[in-house]
Amino acid sequence: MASVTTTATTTGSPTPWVRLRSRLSFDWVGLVPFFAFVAVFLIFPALSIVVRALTDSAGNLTLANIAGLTNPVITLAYQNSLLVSLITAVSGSVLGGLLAWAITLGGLPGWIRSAVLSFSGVGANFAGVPLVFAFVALLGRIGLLNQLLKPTGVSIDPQTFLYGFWGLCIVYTYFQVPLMVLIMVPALEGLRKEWREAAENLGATQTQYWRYVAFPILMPAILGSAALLFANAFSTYVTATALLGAIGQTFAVTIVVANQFRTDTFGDPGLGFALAFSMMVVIGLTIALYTWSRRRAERWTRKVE
Amino acid sequence: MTFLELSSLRKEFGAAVAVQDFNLQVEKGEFVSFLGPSGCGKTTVLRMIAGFEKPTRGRIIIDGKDVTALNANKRNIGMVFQQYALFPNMTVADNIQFGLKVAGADGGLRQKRIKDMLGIIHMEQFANRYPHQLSGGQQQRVALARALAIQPQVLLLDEPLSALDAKIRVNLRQEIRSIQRQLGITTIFVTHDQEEALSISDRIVVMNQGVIDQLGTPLDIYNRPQTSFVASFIGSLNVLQAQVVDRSAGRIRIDGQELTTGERIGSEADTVTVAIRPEAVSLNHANGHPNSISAAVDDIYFLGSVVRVRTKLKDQFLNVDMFNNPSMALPARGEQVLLSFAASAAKVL
Ligand SMILES: Nc1ncnc2c1ncn2[C@@H]1O[C@H](COP(=O)(O)OP(=O)(O)O)[C@@H](O)[C@H]1O
Ligand SMILES: [Mg+2]
Repeated sequence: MASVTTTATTTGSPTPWVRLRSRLSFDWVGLVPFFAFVAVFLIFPALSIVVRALTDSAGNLTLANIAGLTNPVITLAYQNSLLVSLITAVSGSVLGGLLAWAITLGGLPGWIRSAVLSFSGVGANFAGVPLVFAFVALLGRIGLLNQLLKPTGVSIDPQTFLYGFWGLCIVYTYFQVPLMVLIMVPALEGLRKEWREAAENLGATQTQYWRYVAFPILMPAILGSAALLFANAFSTYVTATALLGAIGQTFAVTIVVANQFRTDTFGDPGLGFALAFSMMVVIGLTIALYTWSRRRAERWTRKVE
Repeated sequence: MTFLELSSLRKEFGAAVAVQDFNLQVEKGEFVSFLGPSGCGKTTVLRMIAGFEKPTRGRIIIDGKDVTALNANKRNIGMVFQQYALFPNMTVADNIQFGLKVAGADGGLRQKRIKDMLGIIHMEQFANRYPHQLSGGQQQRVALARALAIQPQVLLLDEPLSALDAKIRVNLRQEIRSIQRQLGITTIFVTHDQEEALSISDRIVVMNQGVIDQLGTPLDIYNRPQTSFVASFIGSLNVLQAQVVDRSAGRIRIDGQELTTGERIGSEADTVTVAIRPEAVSLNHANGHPNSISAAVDDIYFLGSVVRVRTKLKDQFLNVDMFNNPSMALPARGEQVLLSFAASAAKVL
């Protein structure tokens, strides 16, 4: 019987069923764990956040949680979080971009490049309590800086710059820079020597080469990493609480969210879900802005007729 | 009148000498090829002319002006790279006008030049395409147009065809040559492909290990190789080792068989290298040739218009080329044949 079916299908073009089956073949099996993972850990929690942000404890539809976001404490936390994220995305991009440029095209010895890359791999993931501890040990009241300054009689009070807005900016920049390096090094290495030489051969100065050739080619990567840095800072929690401690209980959005779910304080989980929902919106907008600008920046990679 | 002059050029990379004592004078409008195996220093010489490498020693003079110390972006030299050199973020038109744009030329001139250049390379309809939407051959034509758009004094091409399919390669090299003639631009063309160099050059510089081995017209190079390197590199020349039998009569012995060469043999030599073109040998055709030696047919290769018979003497091989003729009778493999050639066809190197 089997042989009969085979002969039937081998004559003429494959039947729709055969084509469908080949399209659903083993190529797709590998994706199953991925889709399952996304469903369980991304789509489901996101939906549940949205639902809970819009319902009260009894399960009735309400906008009260969302309205709670206009609370001045929360708007201030938002302002802080957005500003810190923006500032460290820019400082990380600029400093990391320059560092990446220096170790790829800057003509430095090879060992510096591998040393910086190894450090970046670690530094980009160095956050939370250890990172804060390192900064306090360096810049704190009895930190290394003040120890060194002791003979001069000068003492720098960390309260004014470390345990606050700028402290957060400084500490975040520590992991933003290496993250930028990790993203930009491959992009910079993708710049072909021929492009620079062709530009030079055609009479262009270094500046003209960067302006008309290198920078436009790097633009998609720069936009991508800036967006990633922004989201990275915006969603940072442990580092912020560790640095700011008790004084920072309402300083950043992530801290305010976490506080709503703690049992030892007067938390409001409904507000917490509304805040989480609003953070999803911010990240979503970041991705949308990034996608749009990236599409503009890399028009030349797509087929246009 | 000499337009481009390279005098005593030398380039060292650390302890390695890439190019040494390189002297060349190129006439205005001349098409000169650098031919040699990979790593012999062709690109290095070209990059010194373009200004991308600083010569360790020597001078580069263009139209009477010493440019040795001039920056690459001040030299007004056009260069076409092997591949991937078009700016990927710019259309064909923008690539072509790049040189004029950075020089501050006005829009009218730029548009006119774009139009002229697209006409020259026959790609008018591709002005708004991006490089990744073009075939390899089209990309190289655009690269040529971009280099020519600045009206350079000298055009340099570094193996511009080596990444292309055989058929496109042949068409494009003819196109490059005809554009070069049309514009009368002084051109240096680097290649490792001897057929390419022979077919389009006014003169060829054969390079080996950083030095010029021979400089001459394609005919010169092909018919009168001066070193055993040139002889073995150009064409499919037979290069054989021979013992000297009678120096004054030009008698030599190859694998036990004696023959006569048309050339003088240096007084001190007792073994020599002899070069014989495969097309100068005839098979089983012994009338009046001073040289007839016997050999066994080892293999037969069909090369299209030519049939190559590889024969074996005792230890050495000798190729014989014949025009493909449908009525010809080919020998069988293993068959003994008689090879004949004029004394003048056997060159002592
Ligand atoms: N930037 C460089 N640093 C060190 N050695 C080089 C460099 N460029 C070329 N060389 C060496 O110089 C020699 C000539 O190279 P090249 O001019 O590229 O040869 P070709 O173009 O004939 O293949 C080679 O041995 C190559 O390894
Ligand atoms: Mg080369």
